[in-house]
Amino acid sequence: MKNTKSLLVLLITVLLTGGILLFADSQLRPIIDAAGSSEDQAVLETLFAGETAFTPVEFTDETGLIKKVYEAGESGYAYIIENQGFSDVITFALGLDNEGNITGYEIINLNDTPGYGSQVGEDAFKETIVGKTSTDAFATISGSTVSSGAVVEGLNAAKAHYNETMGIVDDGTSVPETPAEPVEQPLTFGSKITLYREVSESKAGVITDTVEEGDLVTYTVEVAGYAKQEGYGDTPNVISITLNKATETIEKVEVLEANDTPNLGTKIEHPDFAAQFEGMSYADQAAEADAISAATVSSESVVNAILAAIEESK
Amino acid sequence: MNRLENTKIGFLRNNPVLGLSLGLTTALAVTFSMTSAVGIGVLTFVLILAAALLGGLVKMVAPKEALLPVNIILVAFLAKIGELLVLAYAPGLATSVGIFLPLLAVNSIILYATGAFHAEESMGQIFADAVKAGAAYLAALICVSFIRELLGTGGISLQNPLSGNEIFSFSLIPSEFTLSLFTQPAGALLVLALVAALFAAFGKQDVEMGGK
Repeated sequence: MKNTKSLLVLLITVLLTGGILLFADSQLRPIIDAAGSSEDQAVLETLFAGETAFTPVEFTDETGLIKKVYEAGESGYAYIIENQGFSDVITFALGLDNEGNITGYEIINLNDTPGYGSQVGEDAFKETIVGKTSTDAFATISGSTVSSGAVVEGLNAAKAHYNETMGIVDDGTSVPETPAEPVEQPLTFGSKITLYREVSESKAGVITDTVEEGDLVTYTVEVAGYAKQEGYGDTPNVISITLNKATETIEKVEVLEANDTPNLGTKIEHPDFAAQFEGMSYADQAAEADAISAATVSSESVVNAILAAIEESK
Repeated sequence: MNRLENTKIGFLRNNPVLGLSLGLTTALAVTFSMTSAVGIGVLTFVLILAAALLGGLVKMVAPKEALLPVNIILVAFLAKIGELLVLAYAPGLATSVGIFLPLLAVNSIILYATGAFHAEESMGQIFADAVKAGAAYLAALICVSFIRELLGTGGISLQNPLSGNEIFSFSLIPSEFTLSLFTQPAGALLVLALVAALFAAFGKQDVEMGGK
């Protein structure tokens, strides 16, 4: 008897709470759906100019990268896409209008390496995406292959879904345009190099060309950089140096060829490095230059070339 | 002395989280930021009160043997209602605590508050106990989350979970000196242990003695 009563109470509780839950769910569901989309509202509005009504759409996506799909009023479709980047998940929004043109690409979450993976959030990369169509291919960024690859994968998933919805056939023949250029990193300078110092014969610059224009003399100097000094290559760095004999100052330094380790020694091609020599007085015996950190030997080779030019001019 | 006396809730000594380890999972998970700790703490408080109320009503009709299963269903029911309400009115909180919102259904402190373990007590007593438990739980969550957020991010930023507006914020520690460890689970355990030790030390003189 007692057992029957227990069971009865249990049964009534289950039915009652279940019923209330069903009712509460039906009442609250519209608010929950609206709350979910309002979270994305701000970013969605940037995809389509002047569009404010976004309705979530049911969708299937084999890749699992598309998180949400919205119908953007009459303007087209918006996608929220998520993919694993280099160090964290990259989340971004993509807008496609009814003609298949990409109207917007906005990063929502991006925590990849500053200067490398972070490039997928920069305008240079954004410009390679916005304006393309749903049948175009996208290029990754060299130096940030993982992050940009993740984004491109997500873009392709959105394209596939969009093309299927709109009945567009993507023949897959489109080739990506030239990859987005890596953004030039600011240089970090390390140790100092004094201009007047002992330079061994193997490291000294060799003058290959001289052009005189009044007080200005331009020398073209070949100098062994890191690669040649260490025997990795046979090609020297080529530097063009313009000196002002009258004022004993360096007028201009230009790195014509840098044949050292790509992305390290070749940093001497950075305009900021050459710029530091402009206007430097070589009458000053204590004159010194900043070496690029992690490219000290290559930086030194440039200074050696300048020294060779100065000695030649005297 | 009754063995169940051990579960007498106190504020400092026998704090539900720090002393009795009730609802510990949630406490560890949501204290990474003060906003979510306060949000879940208040929600739990409300659920505890509702559980005490419903538990008391159930006790009037249900036989003693049926109390525990019926109360478990009630807790699950309340947690689900709570989850729906949070999803609808505080979506930010729902996103930040994730799975720990539905997991309130297995939060032992809410089950405790239904009075299923104190069949002899009157409804008033159960209710008073529940208020104390809820308040102590909220206080513990606030303490732990304050230390975690301060050490982990260098400052505190408290937002209103309903509107997302900032209530107050400050930054104390420069970002070079913050330890992100404290926003992670390992840091949660460390800080919880620390706060538990502090509470226990200050709680020595507490009149509310539990256990032997």
